[in-house]
Amino acid sequence: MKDGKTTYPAQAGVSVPNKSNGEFEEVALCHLDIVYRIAVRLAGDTHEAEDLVQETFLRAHRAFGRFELRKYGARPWLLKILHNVFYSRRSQAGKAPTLMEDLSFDDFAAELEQSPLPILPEEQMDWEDFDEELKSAVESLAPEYRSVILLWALGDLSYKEIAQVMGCAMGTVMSRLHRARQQLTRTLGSYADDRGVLRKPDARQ
Amino acid sequence: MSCTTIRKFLYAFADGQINVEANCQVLDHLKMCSACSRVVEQHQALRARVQRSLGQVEVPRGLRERVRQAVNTGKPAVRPRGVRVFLTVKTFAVAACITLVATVAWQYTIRAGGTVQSAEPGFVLVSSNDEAASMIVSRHNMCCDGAASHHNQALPHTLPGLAAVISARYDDIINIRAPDLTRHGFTFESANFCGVRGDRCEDGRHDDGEGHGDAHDAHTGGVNGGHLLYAKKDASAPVRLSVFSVPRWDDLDRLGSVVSDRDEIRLASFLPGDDGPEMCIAVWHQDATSYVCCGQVDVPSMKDIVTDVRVALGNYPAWTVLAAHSWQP
Repeated sequence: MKDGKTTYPAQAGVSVPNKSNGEFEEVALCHLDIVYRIAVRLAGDTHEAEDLVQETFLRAHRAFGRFELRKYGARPWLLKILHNVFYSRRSQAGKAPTLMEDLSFDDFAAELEQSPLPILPEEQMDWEDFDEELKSAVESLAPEYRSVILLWALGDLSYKEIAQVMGCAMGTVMSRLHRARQQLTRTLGSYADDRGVLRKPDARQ
Repeated sequence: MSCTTIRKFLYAFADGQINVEANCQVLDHLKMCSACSRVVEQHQALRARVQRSLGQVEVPRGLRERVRQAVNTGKPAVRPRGVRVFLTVKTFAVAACITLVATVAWQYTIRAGGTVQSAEPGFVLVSSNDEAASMIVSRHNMCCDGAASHHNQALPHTLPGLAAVISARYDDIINIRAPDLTRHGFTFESANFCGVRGDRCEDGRHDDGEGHGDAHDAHTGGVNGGHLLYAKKDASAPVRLSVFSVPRWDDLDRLGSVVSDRDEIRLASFLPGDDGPEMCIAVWHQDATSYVCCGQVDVPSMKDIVTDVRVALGNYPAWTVLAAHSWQP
């Protein structure tokens, strides 16, 4: 992963375009929806999200046709810009994320072996009732965990692509994903306990 | 391979991130090991849930155009005023479970292109061969068929904590403040929390009035929400009109393409079955709630009705307030 020359089959067909707006439209603007959705979840606010999106595409347009696009592929590239914009704003606001040191895959595996995953009795859970809780649980994750979860679930990126967006090693992505998942499971589990969702339906009021 | 050995690959396997050889080894293990299979299932279920819950964000109409403009001019385009933010009403999420009201009417705009066949300010006629539209009509018909039991002040299904509060106020809040559609020949008949779903009533749960526990609809793809039923009294055969409220606009998005953008009202007109009467459906978002109006009326009548419903809903935030203050899980 630390090999910066890595290219991916799905993006191999992305040519380095000239500055034509038509091509920008075709290559970049078609990812607007997913960029916006992730921006909303990062920022927690639709107005800020729109600002982030505009800034992202402005920067993307300025850099359009440069090496980065070929290196990353359009969607990871845009999401990387989005993250840069978002974190630089947060940083200006004094809320820089605390990035962990990189971990290798082996470190991640070792960590895994030491930490059993709590398994919830999901079949008894009314997960449909937990939309809001899940949203707030994700929102309450530390920024680097939240980003990984969003890029993983919403962005549909590979571990490699997430690592590129986040500027960290793949083992770190896996570790963060694992920790984020543990936190979400714990949080939702406690919501479930609080609300008695684990009880049988006939035990409800 | 043992669980310990395989475990470090499980999540990567679940995400389709490992090579073919390792993939085969994990698969071999999973065939024999239910515990590890469960881990994989959980991981994938979490991803799907996050995707569904957090991915349902409506992209503002006009954003694409503003981004184009920004790109062309080299500076951010100005966002129009008047668009409210749903994320700020998180505390209303609970209240929204019964929200049948709105406080602000969205500005009307006309959608251009796409499935539009014709348009008047605010209204957009869309194609009627839509799964969601059919489902809503069948929901409407089911509630009409069981209309007597639909009028149940216990307000069954999914909201046991709230039902008592609301039912106590049924006559002075719901009954009185349901939008007045007598001008259109429809009188208010009943309210329920049966929501917009595909398969209620079939097993009698809709009629039991008890609010039994498993009335949520993960398996049907339906959504929770309130349902006001109106009847045309002077008709020779029963003619009814439904106004559904759906707690959050992104819930409605799950139903399919008939859903509305925030600043337009989508209409579809079609004939359910072979020779059924013409049905018209209107879908729109109003404040933190989505609404569906459905009934045996033609398109011009539906437009008139929806216009009145929107005004009425905009006039009484009382239900939301009541719910927000009263509901304790």
